[in-house]
Parts: sequence; structure tokens; C-alpha cells
Amino acid sequence: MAKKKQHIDDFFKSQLQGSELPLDGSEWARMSKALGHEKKKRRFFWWWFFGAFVLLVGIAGLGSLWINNGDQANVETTSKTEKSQAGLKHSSATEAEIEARLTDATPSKEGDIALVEAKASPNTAKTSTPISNTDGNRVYKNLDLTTRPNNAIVSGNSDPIDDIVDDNSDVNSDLDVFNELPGLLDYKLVDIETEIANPWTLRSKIKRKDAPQILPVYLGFTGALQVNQQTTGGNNSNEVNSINANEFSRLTPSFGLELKFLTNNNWSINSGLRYQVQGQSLGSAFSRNPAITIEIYDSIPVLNPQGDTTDWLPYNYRDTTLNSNLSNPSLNYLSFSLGISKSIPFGHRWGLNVGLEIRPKILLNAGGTSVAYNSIGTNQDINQFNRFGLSGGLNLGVHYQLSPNYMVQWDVFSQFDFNDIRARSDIHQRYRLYGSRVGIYYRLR
Amino acid sequence: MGKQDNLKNEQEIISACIKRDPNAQQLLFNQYAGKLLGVCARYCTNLDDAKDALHEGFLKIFNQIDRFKGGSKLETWMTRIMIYTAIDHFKKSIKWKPMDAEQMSSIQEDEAVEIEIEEKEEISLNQIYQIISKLPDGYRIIFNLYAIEGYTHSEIAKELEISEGTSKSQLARARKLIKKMLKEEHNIG
Repeated sequence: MAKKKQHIDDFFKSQLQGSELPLDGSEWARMSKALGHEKKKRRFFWWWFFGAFVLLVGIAGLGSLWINNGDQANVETTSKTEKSQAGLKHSSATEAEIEARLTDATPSKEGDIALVEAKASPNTAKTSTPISNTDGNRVYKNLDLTTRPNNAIVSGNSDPIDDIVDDNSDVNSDLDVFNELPGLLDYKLVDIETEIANPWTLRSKIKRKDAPQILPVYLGFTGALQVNQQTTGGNNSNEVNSINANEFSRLTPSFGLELKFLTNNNWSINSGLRYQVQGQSLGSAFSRNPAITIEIYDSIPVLNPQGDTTDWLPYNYRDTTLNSNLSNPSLNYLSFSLGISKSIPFGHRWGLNVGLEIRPKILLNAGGTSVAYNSIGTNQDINQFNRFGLSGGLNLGVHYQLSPNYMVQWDVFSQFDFNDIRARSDIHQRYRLYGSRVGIYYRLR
Repeated sequence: MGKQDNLKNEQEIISACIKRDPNAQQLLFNQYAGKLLGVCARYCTNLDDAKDALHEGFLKIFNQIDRFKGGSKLETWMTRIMIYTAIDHFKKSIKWKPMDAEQMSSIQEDEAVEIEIEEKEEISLNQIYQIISKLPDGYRIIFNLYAIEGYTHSEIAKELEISEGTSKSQLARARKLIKKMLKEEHNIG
């Protein structure tokens, strides 16, 4: 057969161009999984949403009850200790003396209990002017034993004296003066307004056996600003390094509602909902020289058509309506929170807060500012992101009791994503958030 | 009539892929995966690496397909992405070291290599791939980019972060090595 000369390049080009290699079905299965097709089949999305919320609020409520129950035991122990420390015996205050003092006491409306100035003996104890009580459960002033404390002493007996005198005629309802008084005398009469102001302080001072343990619950509106720093990206955690992460950091807002269940030992359990914007700023990428103007792949190394370099970006969104890159891509989440915090009171109105929280979140939509049109859109296909996420972190701050019913709290926080942002298995991007949050809280009970 | 039957032409498939329709994505994958695996195999040393590059490349394609403007054939656009992916895959798998000046000084660019080959020479596609895969990494990539894809030395130099001289000398060495393998292993040339 005749031989012809052929350039080696042409020979290989003719052999290889258009050639195919066989594939088995497993390749598509792998691809399908990476594209997150299975995730799209998830149903009961909103059931999960509401279920998780109800569960978290339930956990918070039950947790506060549990803590409170433990605290009631402590109250009882404390009460007994106080009695012994007072060094007062039943015989030191006669029934007549008690009744004499009761006669002098100005009756107050139902619901008052007493805070009494500490004196050396019950004989010199005096009562102070009654004040109106806010709700009958929290603020107690004056040794006003002629009336039955509202809910404080369970009684069906209409005779107040019967409640005062320990005559065993009504075992369940009698206020055991001889046992209670020394304990009550051990409290100091303080600036009652200040005491009112700080529920943590107040509750730590008023420890009365049999007193009802009503848990204060606050509802707060909070707003926050946070720095979004992306910690990882690309095919492995090294491909978007800390320099990249800082370059694309961006300040985003969040706001929400929070329930704060206070307990008797300065702990509180917190649960809430928050609308949270997370995102990056790609402005610096577009202003680079040479600018990355055409090919911005999300977390994919790109041979730029301009030929400058292979580059990494945290991610890039494209507005599907405007067909434009987004300079400030955003992910908008609704997050639940469940946390626990410890308040360390200082002064009568101030307290230091230290807390931990976990924050399951759900992606509502994605959008951002269009580069070309400088407009805001939420047209990004959110299927490329994980719909559910979990983050958690720490917070540290102070609270100030404005009035008996209002409190403000300011804290700084740091949160970390526990799972990847992207639905793709080959891109591992997460956020680290640093922020400051302010909230105003109203006491519900 | 199934949903896949409705996706008759390429434009419909692209539109559906932009909407992330799984059926359209599967159609596109099935249509081009074999060819693109062939592209990846030219740049990788073994089939497993080629499959990994194919997987990575298709993910890029599906995520970026809204950027395909139709200025070129879809296959050309996909092939280009696959080449970049395979090269990046290669860069990640080894420490890419551009040749230094001392090494360069000993290399002279050869003239174009020609071989004599019968019109119906007995060499299979598998044997072609084997020859390619046996080339050193640098030779293989530069030979593919220049000889098969039609890149210029300038474009290759920018992509691989090497000098044009290095690109030329590596290409020359690749050709000589291929010719030697063809002769010794297949009695061609």
C-alpha cells in the first residue's frame, strides 16, 4: 500500500477530533447527585419550617421551666438557711407583738407581700409606706400581712388572721409567720424603684417560701449589622484563602423577634426568628486591573478571556432577569434561634450578658445589586444553594433595665456556618459573621 | 409523550438547562459526555482522572450555561470549558514548574516533524490515547493545545504561565517522542 507523508500534528488531529470514549450509567448518577436533583424533590418544606419553629420555642419554654424547678429547690434551701442565720426563735416574737404590728400596718391592696428593713430584732422592725403593686407577683413591699398575697399563699380562707396565725386550722393556707418572719426580716429595704427595674436582681433578693414562681418572659425586637466573611471556597478549603475572604467582606443587616425566658438564677433561654441577609461584595473584583468583566465563574478557577490570570471568586450570581452579574450578591435567610445566656448583674439596672446559640436557617431567596443596572433583584436561582443551614456562635453584651417592663440589650456576636452554602458537592463555602446587635424588649409577664 | 421528547433541538435543551431541568441536563450530558471524555482523556494520564475532570467540567457547564450566547457552537464552548477544567485538574494534581532559563538554554526548537503513514494504517483509537498518555505532562498538554486544539504558543504561554520559548521547545520534544513511540511500538513513521 502506498505511503503518504503526513504531519504528525495532522495525523493526531484527524484521529482524535470528534472521538468518543464510552461511559457507563454511573457517571450520570454521580452528576445528578452533584447537581442536587434529589434535593429538589424534597417536600413538606413549610411543614419543616413551622415544625422547627414550634419545636425550638417549645424547647426554650420547657428548658426555662426545668431550670426554674431546680431553682425552686434552691429557694427553699435558702429560706431555711436564712432562718437559721437570723438567729431568731419563735419565742422572740410573741403572737401579741405580731398582731400589734399588724394593726399599725396600713392595709394594702391584695397582692402585696412585705419587704422589711433589717433590724436587730422583730421588735424594732418597722414597715414602710405601701406602694401600689404592679402585678402582685413581682414587687412586694411592706409587712402587710393583713391581706393575703395574691397567689402567693394558697388559701380559700377569707379570714386574713387565720392565714397569719399558725393555728393549723388551715394547714395549707396559713402563712407561717414564725417561720417566715425571720426570713423576711433578713431582707433589706432598698430603693424599691431600682429593685423593680432589674428583674434579675429583684428575683434573686425575693426568695420566699411558697411564693409563686412566675417566669418573666420578654419579647424583643432586635436589629443587627454584621460583617460577612467567607471562610472557605472552591474545591477545598484552601482555594479561597483569608485574603480573598477579607477582600469580599461585606456589611449586611438582619432583624427579628426574640422571646427571652428568664429564670431565677440569672439564666435565660432565648428563642426567636430573624431575617438575615448574608452576602459578599464583588466590587473590588470588578475594579481590578485588569478588570474581571466577562467570565466570573462561581468559585471556579477561570482562564479569563482577557488572558490575565486564573482567578477565584467566592461566588458569583447572575440576575436571570437582567442577565447581568451581581456586584453585591445576597442570600436572604429566615433563621430560628435557640440560645442560653447568663446575666451577671452589676448595679441595679445593668447586667452583663454572655450567651451561646444555635441558629437553623432557611434560604428564602437570593439576589443582589446588578453591576450593569445598579438595581436590586431577587432573581437568582436558589436551587444552587442549600436551602437549609445551621450556624451557631457566641454573644457578649450588656442590658439595661429602662423600666419594669422595658429593657434594652446590646451585644456583639460571632457566628459560624456549620454546613456549606452551595448545593454543589464540589464547592465548600461557608460564612463567618461578626456583628453587633441591639434589641428592645418588652415584658410580657 | 415524555418530557424528553419535547426537548428536540439544542436551543430547547439549553433553555431547559438554564432552568435546571434535570431531564434536559441528562440529555445534554448523554449527548456530549462521550466526546468530552475523549477531550479530558487527552489531558489526563489515566481514565479515572479524565472522568473526574469530566464531572467537574460538566458541573461548570450546567452552572454557567446561561452565559452561552450562541456565538460559537455549543460543543465548541463546552469543549473549551472542558479543556480549562482538565488543565486546572492537572495543575492541582501536580506542582506545575515552568522550566528555568538553564534548562531552556539546552533546548533547540526542532523543525516540524513529519511521518510517513499508510492511508489505512493499523492503529486504534485506544493506541492513540495510550501514546498521548505516556507523554510527560508538559509535553502532553502543550501538544494537545497546539496540535489538536489549535492554540498559539502565545495563548499556551499565558494559560500555563510559561514562556513562549518553553512552549515551543516542549512541543518539539513531544513530537519527537511521539514519533519515536509510533516507530518503536507500532512500526509507523
